[in-house]
Amino acid sequence: MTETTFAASEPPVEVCHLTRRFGATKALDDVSLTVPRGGVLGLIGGNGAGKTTLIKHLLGLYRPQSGTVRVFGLDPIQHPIETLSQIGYMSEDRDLPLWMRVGELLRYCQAFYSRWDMRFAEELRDAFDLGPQARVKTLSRGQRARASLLVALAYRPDLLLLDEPSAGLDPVVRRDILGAIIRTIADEGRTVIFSSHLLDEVERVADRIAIIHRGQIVLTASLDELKETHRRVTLRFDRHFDRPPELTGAISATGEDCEWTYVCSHDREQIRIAATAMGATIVGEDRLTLDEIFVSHIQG
Amino acid sequence: MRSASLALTWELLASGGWKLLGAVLVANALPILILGALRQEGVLDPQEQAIISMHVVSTMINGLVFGTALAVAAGSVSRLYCYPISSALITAGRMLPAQLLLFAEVAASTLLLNWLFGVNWPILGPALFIVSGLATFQAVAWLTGHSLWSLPAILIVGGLQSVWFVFRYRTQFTGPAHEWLEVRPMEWLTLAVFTAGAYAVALLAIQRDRRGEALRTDTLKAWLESLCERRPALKRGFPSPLAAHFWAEWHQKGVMPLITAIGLCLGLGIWLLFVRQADTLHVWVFKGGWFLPITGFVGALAIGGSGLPNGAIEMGPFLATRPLSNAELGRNLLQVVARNVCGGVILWLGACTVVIVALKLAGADSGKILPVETSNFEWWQIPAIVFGSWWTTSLLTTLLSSGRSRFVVLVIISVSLLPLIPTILGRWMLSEGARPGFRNAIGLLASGVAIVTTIWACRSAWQRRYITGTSLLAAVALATTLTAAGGIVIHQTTGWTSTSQLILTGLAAITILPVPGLPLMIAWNRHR
Amino acid sequence: MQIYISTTDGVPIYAQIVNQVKYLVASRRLKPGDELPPIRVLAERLVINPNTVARAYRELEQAGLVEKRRTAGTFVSDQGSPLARRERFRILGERVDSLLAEAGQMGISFDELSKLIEQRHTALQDLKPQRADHD
Repeated sequence: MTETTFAASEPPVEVCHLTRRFGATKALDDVSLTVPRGGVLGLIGGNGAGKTTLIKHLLGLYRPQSGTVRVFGLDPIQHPIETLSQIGYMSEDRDLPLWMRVGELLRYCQAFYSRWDMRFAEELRDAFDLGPQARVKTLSRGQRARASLLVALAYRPDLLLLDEPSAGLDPVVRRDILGAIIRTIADEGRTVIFSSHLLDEVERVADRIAIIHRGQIVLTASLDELKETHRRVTLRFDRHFDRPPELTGAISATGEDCEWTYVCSHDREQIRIAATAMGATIVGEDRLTLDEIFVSHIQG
Repeated sequence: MRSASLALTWELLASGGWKLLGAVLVANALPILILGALRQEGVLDPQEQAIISMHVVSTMINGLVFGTALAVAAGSVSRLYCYPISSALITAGRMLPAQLLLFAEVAASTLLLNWLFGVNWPILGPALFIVSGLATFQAVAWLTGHSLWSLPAILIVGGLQSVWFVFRYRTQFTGPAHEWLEVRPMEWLTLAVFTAGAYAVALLAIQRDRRGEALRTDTLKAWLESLCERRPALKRGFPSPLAAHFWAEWHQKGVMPLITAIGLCLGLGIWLLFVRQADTLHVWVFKGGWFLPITGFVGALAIGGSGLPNGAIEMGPFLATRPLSNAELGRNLLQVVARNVCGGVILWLGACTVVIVALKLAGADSGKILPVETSNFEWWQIPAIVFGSWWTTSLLTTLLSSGRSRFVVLVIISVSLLPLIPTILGRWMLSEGARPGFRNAIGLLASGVAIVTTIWACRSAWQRRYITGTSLLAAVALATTLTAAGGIVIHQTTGWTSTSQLILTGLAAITILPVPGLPLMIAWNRHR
Repeated sequence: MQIYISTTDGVPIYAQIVNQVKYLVASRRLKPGDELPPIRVLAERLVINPNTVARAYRELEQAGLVEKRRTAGTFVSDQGSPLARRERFRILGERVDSLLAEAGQMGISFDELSKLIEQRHTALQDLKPQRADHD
């Protein structure tokens, strides 16, 4: 018990120089990430970028090949009980014991968590319209996702790990899931990490963003910071260019001839100065959606 | 029309390719090897009962292997539904070429064996039978496809047909007496009816499936499900995480008592139908115990397969993220194995007792508890059955719990192939006198490996805290007791030697190997 | 209080809330003394992070549009307060800035621009009674 109380002062997730290979491919390449207590981290990346691999390391389902993983200050492989009983996890494939009935699933899961709140669980079950007699096998995709979320939430875990929680689901179920995440973080001090490639969702729900690409964390920032700093700037030059001229702070560039559009992550003033120095005028300036920021980082 | 049917045939051959060739090799390698070995030894007698049995079995294996390869090569039939061809053409296109190929393969295979070894096995009858068998198999598979009836239906139809085939070689339930040399009119008719029926059923099945309708067995299914699902509603929670987990695991994996019960009922049913002799029942119930270790393999497949619904042995994320330690998961699985084996053994011993009491009451008592005279079933076979069941179930479960299919295949292949090497060596390289000593040395080596493996497993499980001190002590104490008890028994019966003692220790070691082995393997599976 | 969030135009969500509340207050659909929904309720309704709502409320409070009353909640403040007035000037100031910048880029002088503003003002004044007739 001393360990658990000690863990309360540790950051929920601390990953240092984690590398993982599957055969010749590097699924994770020297990843370091610290997630502070409270708030929602949106882990975004394309298919096969390493999101699931990273989350599975946090659960101890993968053994780090090099580097360390700490969850609440503990190694999840050495201390499965201490870590797993504080984590709510919704797996990508919504793996649940198919033969159980929903009521049995609740009873079964209840046994593992001292903080299981049956009233909350029943409330969610009602809200999600899951009959206690229904068998998990017969549930639709959306219902299974709801059941999976239910058993990840009902003990109010300190850390909620959601791996693609809304992939392949209809808008109503997606809304349910996001609503549940929001209710979870409304309680003080709970941490949510969720991976997704539905970026409008991430933009609604996340406080912080980590972009992962080809096994590397390309960027971590708060969402506000990201939105403040990233801008699309169109410059008009006084002569023709075949390739985009270098602009300091630019992540990607598109365009032709005299007009080139850059995605920049710099201060507005600095860009203005840089543009003037190149003999160009700013003819357009826009904010970016998270979607556009993500694409520019991945392709630029 | 002709081009469409040709296209179907071509597709079958093209996608079959290497698979079909491989199947031919696999199906024929075994009889060639066995017959070759027998001829080398100079004991090949085509008239002998065992050789006729071999013909029957190898014909069926041939049909099974090549037929399966054909089915795999053909792939899912639903793929063809979107082509503009009639259901009749699909049926014929899928069944006829496969039948012709299979007929040619079986006939050629028998011809080859006849030419190589002069066994004079019949060609026409078996080939016709296998071909009509393929048709019925396809028909039943399509009729019941993707439903839970598929396996039982195939087993029942296949079983009935096999019995019919086996009876072409004999007149009673004893061993085969003669070859099936001539296909009589009645037999032609039977096979024709089988095949025609299969085509009709297949056509109906494909028409139905093409309409997108499922087999209408909902009421039957609901009834069966309610029968299987009759588990008490969970009113209260579980007292502990382990209790909850054991409940869940046992519900999925408590198969061996069920299989044993079904086996016993089946045996009794066959006895009632065909035999009805007191002595036979006595022999059957005791000798039937030898099915328990075999059941262990089936049980282990259920117990060790802890993974995803698709049957992979890799541990699924839900199970892997239960807040339980590896030690707890291992202990839990060990309990599941123990309860399975105990359930099976208790049911079997119970059945034996019932039979003995019933025989005594009926006055058909030969005066002995064990059927020693009629079948050489002696006392030592009882512990051999009990331990054999434990070994097969627990060791295979331990192996499967690793969740690493490559490792599992590697271990299974080496365990089944390694004994061949000393056997072959002993057979051809050594003189008559040196063989017992050689065999002893191999036994000692195997025991040594077992003991060292167990000690290593105990040590690493202890270092990783996958095993508690109590469990470790209990396991070691059990192994010691078994070794000592075995030594005393041997001393009383055949005479004690240090070799036999070491082999006993090896057996005791593999008996407790799952205690440290299960948590080690589970950890290896869980933390990839 | 009707607020709509869009994630397609790049405006940060907190800014969308701030702008829409400002608009609702300016158009008198929110009156002084009206209560804004609690942070959790609004977050769940809009399906957005509660911290974002909190930030929006904070900005509104700093701008003098709303005031937090201990234990009671967040209310639209009295618009006559000097803080609110200063905020209105700030908003208009920003608009004027961008108007001036655009005028500069289009090559329209300041005099022309102020003349245009005057023209538009008279036009709107003329329009007003007509619209009242329609209503």
